[in-house]
Amino acid sequence: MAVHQRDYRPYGSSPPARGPRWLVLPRFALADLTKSKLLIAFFALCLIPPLYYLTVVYLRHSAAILQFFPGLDLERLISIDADFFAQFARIQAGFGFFLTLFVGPGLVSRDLANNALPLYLARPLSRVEYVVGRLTVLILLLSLISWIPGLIVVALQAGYVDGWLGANLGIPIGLVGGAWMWMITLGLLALAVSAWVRWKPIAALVIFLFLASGTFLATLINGLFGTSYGKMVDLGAVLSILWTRWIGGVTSSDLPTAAALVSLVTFLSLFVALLALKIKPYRTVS
Amino acid sequence: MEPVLELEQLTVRFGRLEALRSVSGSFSGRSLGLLGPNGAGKTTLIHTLLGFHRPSEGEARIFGRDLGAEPKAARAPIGYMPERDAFVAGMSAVRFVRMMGELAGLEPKESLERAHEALWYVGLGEARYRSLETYSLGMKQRAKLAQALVHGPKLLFLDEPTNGLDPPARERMIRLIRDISATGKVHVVLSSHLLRDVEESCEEVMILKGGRIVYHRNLEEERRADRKFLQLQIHGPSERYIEALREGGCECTPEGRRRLRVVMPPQRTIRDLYELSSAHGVEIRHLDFHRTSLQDIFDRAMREEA
Repeated sequence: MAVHQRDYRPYGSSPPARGPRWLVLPRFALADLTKSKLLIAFFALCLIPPLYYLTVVYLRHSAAILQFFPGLDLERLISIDADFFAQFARIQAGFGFFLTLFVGPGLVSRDLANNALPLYLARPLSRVEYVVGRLTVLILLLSLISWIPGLIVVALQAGYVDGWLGANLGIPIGLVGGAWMWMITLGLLALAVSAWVRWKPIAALVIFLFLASGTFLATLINGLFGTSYGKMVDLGAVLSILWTRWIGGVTSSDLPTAAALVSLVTFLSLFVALLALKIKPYRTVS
Repeated sequence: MEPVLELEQLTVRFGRLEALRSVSGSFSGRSLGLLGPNGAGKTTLIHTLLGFHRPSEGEARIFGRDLGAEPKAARAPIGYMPERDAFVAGMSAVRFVRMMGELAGLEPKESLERAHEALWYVGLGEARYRSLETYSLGMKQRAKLAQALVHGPKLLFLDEPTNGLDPPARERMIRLIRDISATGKVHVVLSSHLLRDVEESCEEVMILKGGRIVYHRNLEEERRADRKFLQLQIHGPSERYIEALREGGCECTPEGRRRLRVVMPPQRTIRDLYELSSAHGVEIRHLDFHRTSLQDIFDRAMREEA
């Protein structure tokens, strides 16, 4: 029967409970995002560094290269260690930041601008699940350019050198753990700004200025007071310090890890509080 | 019959403001109209039943499920059409309704199929691939109704569904609501400040004022009771006739020389009135059932409360 000839059929019972309903949100959002050619092009650009790193690992162990340049000390020239992966993480964090600027600002503002939240929250979906659903969009995209290709590079290196993985187990653990910390923090920042600033370009500018002003303030505080604790107000630096140290790399900052963690928790609490104030079906005035 | 809604001493406070005050009652009919002046608590009651506000005191159950203990299970059989514009920008109507169906728990394929059906049902079949931003106000209202219906809810909350609609669009919306309620499978709770909307589409009426229920009755029963309340215009010697009516168990109040207000006991019929009038040489020139309008009920409830 043709669709237009059918009448409305009410259900005899409630719809069956399927898996997590919040997964519907990232599925629809990702389908919309993939319609943007600019995003696809930028995403492809984000995958160039991982390809470069894979190539470097391949060349580092390539017998053909060693045969071609017999005097070349590749072991000294290309050292595949924690710093190698920390550098990879820093580069991908930069790309991920711009990807977040592109995707993040529209994630929540689109729903808030048109009062769609009551429609979501009137269904069996909680506020937390809504935020997790929106956050998943960024986490999926950022995962594809950070820890997933990072683990592929690790796997290639481990495949070439017996016992390397056992001796450097901290590298993949730090890479994945740091990536999740970075993705969740960046994602919550983007969602919080998206919830408060409805115009996408302005929201992207606010995210950019938030991180840039942190760097400026940190430099100012460190310079004025001769301390390294100024970095605590620089979210980008805090993330970089923690991620690099978790991988096992060396950082130029003297900020203690505990202080960086305190700063991170403070920033996360701020973003969650900002979201909690806005992600409501209706505002109530008492 | 299983109660659809059960409210027990439900109180909702926003700071010092008491939006709902110890509201108790139950609803198990097909359609309930929530009426009341602005700020009476109609929308707060709907929002509380949707889990948007946590009750400060008391309990609410939907199909026997406690809102506090099982909020998701209680919300699962509900469809909600909010008062204000509500849609996702940049989406076609069919995609929007499909997404809402999936969020309610439908499989993607079934949700798409039902999104098409729901949009045809509300009269947006031809426009279902258009972006929601290009819709007129009336079309947006119908798209909101489609998303509320897509998962086949057992209980439908409609908050001011005719807001801003022109007369033909309003007529169409009321007809849709009546049709949905007539299926008997969907219970409808309609909140409105327009008495006509409720009168035309609801069986039961609940009037709220200052966060309390001041009236809750079945309109049909009220009207059936009205059929025993008559106004007569008579010609001829009325004294004996009035006496005979009273002897027959009727309450009779003369209004001037030719008018009578009569409340008949259940065993009496209109035919008895005519037989008595004929026996006493009285002509009944006009007979009217006193029909209580919703306006009368509303005014009375407001007066009594005051």
